[in-house]
Amino acid sequence: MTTISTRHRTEPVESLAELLDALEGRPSLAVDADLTVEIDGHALSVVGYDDVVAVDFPSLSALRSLWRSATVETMDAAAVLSSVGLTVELRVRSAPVARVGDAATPSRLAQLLGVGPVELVPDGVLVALTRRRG
Amino acid sequence: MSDAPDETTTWPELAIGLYDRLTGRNAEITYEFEDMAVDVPSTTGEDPEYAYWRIDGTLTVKTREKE
Repeated sequence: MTTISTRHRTEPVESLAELLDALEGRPSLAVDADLTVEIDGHALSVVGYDDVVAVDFPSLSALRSLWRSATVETMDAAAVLSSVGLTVELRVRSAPVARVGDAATPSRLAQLLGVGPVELVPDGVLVALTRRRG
Repeated sequence: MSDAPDETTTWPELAIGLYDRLTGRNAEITYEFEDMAVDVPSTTGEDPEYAYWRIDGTLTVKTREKE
């Protein structure tokens, strides 16, 4: 039988700031994932390697489409990921194009493009633009 | 069930609730999805838009020491 020990807070966590406060000082997370995900017709693969979660998109247009429709602001996602020690690597047909979170070094170009605290991988973007579907 | 999660009304509350259970148990949580279909709301407020998700595979989350 499993004994459950759960910390209880007196107030609900309703905002990002409160969530970040609640995560302060807690251990980092490790993720092991092997998922296939379809979002509004776009098929993705999600693979977790401890502190990195790679999300592979079928095309740059699919990535852009889902990025625009994301319900979480990039800035907020980056803050939460950093607070739990995780990095999300966005890939297009296996080519890394961007990273968000703990190990990401936000690119000046990304800031200029208004996409938030994202590390762009220019070589990966070029590969994604030129690589044909296998 | 005695360990059923409390009702949550916001994404941050949902996130910290999962974290509480994970670190409270000092264990790992494994989710196994078998072609699960779900409409994911854009917000927890009124009249959200929904994205249609299908998920298949395994996700395991555990804690690790900060480096």
